[in-house]
This record gives sequence, structure tokens and C-alpha cells, in this order.
Amino acid sequence: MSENGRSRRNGGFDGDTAQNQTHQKKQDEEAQLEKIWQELENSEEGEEIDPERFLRDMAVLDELVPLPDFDLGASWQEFKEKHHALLEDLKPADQQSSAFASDEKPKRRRSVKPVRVALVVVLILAMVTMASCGIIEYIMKAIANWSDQVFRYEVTQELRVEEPNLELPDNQHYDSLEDALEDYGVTTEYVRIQYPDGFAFQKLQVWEYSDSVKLMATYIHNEKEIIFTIWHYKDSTALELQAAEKLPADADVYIRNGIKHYVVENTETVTVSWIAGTELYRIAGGFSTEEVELMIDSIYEGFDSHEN
Amino acid sequence: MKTNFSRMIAVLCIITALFSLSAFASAAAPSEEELSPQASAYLTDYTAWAVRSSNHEVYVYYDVTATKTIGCLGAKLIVIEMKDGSDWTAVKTYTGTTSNGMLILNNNGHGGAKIYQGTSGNQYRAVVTIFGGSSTTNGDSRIVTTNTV
Repeated sequence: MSENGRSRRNGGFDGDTAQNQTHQKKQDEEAQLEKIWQELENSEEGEEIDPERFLRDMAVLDELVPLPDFDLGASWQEFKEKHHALLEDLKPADQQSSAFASDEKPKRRRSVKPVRVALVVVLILAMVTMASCGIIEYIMKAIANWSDQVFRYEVTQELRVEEPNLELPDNQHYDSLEDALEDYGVTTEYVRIQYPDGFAFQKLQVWEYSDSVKLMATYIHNEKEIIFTIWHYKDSTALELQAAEKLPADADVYIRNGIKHYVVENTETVTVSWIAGTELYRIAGGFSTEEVELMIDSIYEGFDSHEN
Repeated sequence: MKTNFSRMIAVLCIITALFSLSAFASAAAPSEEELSPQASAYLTDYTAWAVRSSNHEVYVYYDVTATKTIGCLGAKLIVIEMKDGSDWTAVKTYTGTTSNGMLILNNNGHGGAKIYQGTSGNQYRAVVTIFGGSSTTNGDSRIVTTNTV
């Protein structure tokens, strides 16, 4: 019989309810309790407990020593008052573990439970780490809608930065889009665009906000401009409040590689918008319908096509 | 025991997932934009939004993309509003100029921010007038009301 077993029965089961029983009855009850306890103690590590047997044992226990109305806080306080000397003598947890290592019966209770708790902690930490490292990819989803005046995305699966690193926006200039993408850690396959003949790269500007980055490349030809913008979002609030100007006509939808590309006409320009992952892409310029289709198609050259 | 442990793991996974979802779901609802009923020769898109720091600083961000390189673009006016019962009261106004950086000349994109020191227990938002034009006076204005923080 372990110390643990005795103290548990004395403190938990052999309370005031047993005092009014006859001596013989008390002995019988103790024998039954001992039997149940021994069965529990003797079960092998990792052994499945028969739930029916467990419930039966608990029913017997309940019958023999019904639990009174139990106040956990009051009981703990009472225990502390009665056994304060014992509590003061308690060794640190690591010493307890080694001391109990030679105590074979309570081994399962004292060694397995911490392992399980540790497993749970490791699981939660792993999930948090994976999320923070981007192993679990956060996806931003949005549906397009438009009125006669504006085109916008309504976010249906949001991104949120709970504690953004708040700073004033930083405006940088780069020599190429690829350099900027690399610097800001934006991985994308949607930037290999074949622009209409004659357009050449002019400049790349970046605005870094606390919760998003805007990369804007300008291509020029005969004083005409094509502006290609990539918004990389960590938080979708900026997207929710973004509006693109348009004429009253409906948006045209081009589906390539399973992605919807929305084409809207502005006064003198055409705007193509699409969302992939956590990025919003937008191309604006004075295009014809044919040029828009060619540009969109060019993005996906080399992709495995699963157009729908 | 194994069954209980498996259940515990499953419950923890569900709780973790719910926390993640609730974090995403704690968004402020997008505000209505008050927009002029026409397209623009100067503006392609624009946005303005607010973020609140732990010490109640209200960061109001704005960003605008022009259709091409134009004479002037940016934020012409930022009005910080504080919620007063069911009403909103203006508590601070920033007027955009090229010298304070809210407006920029001869570019096709611009973005910036203003910081307002709020106080605990109050809610704030901003009404931002986005502007793009051939000069500081000739162009198109659009008004965006940010999220509430």
C-alpha cells in the first residue's frame, strides 16, 4: 500500500460518514474499498480501463461512502490548516519526481500525467509557431462587388494583426519589382506579365504600412503609363475600405487558373483586379479588351492549367 | 484513459481553432464611403483606415493610386472624430499640404499617416478626403470614412 493510496482514502473516502457504521460493517466496506483500489492500482500502464467496470466500481464507492456536498475551496483550506507542517516540508517538484521514482505503485499517476500535459503544451506551441512562421498559411478571401461608381472587395475571410508594429509609412524606391518583392518577403507567381508592346519598366515604389505593403511598378511608353500594384496584406482592413473608380458598366470577369480577374473601365483607363493568397493585384492603364486578355493569359503561361 | 486524452487533445484543438477564428472575426465593419457618382480621370483607387496602439494612439493611414503621373495627389483633409453617444464629434483636423507631406506633386501614387493621441474609453474614426488632380486645386476628391478604433 502506497503512502499516496492511504492518504487518499483517509482524507477522501474515510470521512465522517463512516463514523456511524458498526465496526463489522466498516471492516466490510474497507475490504471492498481495498479491493477496488487494488484493482485500479494493479492495472498495467496504458491498459484500457473497462468503462462498465469503472462505473460499477464508482457506483459501489458511492453507495459505501457517499460524498457529502463538497466545497473544494473550503476543503483545501481546511486541509492546509490541518497539515500545514506537511505542506511546508514538501520538496521541490524535481526532487519529488526522483524520490517517487522508486515508488512503483503511483508511478503511472505521477509520470504519465506530466508527459501528457507536456504533449498538449508542445502541440499548442507547435501550432502557434507554425502560424507565426507562415507554415500554416493564412488565406484572405474576398468577393468582388461593384456599384455604378466603384469596384471593391468585400472580405469574407479576414486577416487580422492583433498587435501591429505601428510606425509611420515608409516610402522606398527600387530598381526592380523582383528586388522589392524579395526585400519584403513577398512570394508570388503572378508578376510575369507580358505588357503591350513598347512598354518598359520606369520605376518601383513601395509604401510599407504597419499592417500591409503596397508595391507599385510603373511601365511607360509614349507618355502612357501602366501601373501594376501589389498589396501584400497582413491585415485586411485596408482592403475592406479600398475603392477603385469605375464607370457605371458592369465588371467583366476573366477566369484563368481558377482565379477571377475583374476588369472595370474608368474614365480613360481600364483596371484589372484579382486576389490570390494574401495579395491584391491591380493593373491599370489604357488597354484594349484584347490587350487585357493577352496580359491576363501571359501571367499563367507555364502554370498547370485548370481553368474553370 | 486513452479515450479521455484523445478527447482532451481534440477539445484543445477546437479551442485553438476557435481562438484563431475569433481573432480574425474581431474586425471592425467596413464603413460606408461617400463617393461622388462618377469615374475619375485622376484616381484609380484609394483607401484609408485606422489602427489603434496599446497606448491609445490612433494611426490614420491613407493611400491613393492615380491613373498616371498627375500634378497633385494625396489626402487633402483628415478629420479625427470621437464617438459621443450616438454621434461623432470632430476632435482634430489635419489639412493636407505638400509641405506637411499629405499631398505630393507629380507622382502616380502616395500614402501617409497621421497620429492622434486618443484617450482610454473613447472610440475614434477618421474622415479622409482623398484628392487627385492636375494641380492642388483642380481635380477629384473622394471621401473615405475609416473603421472605428
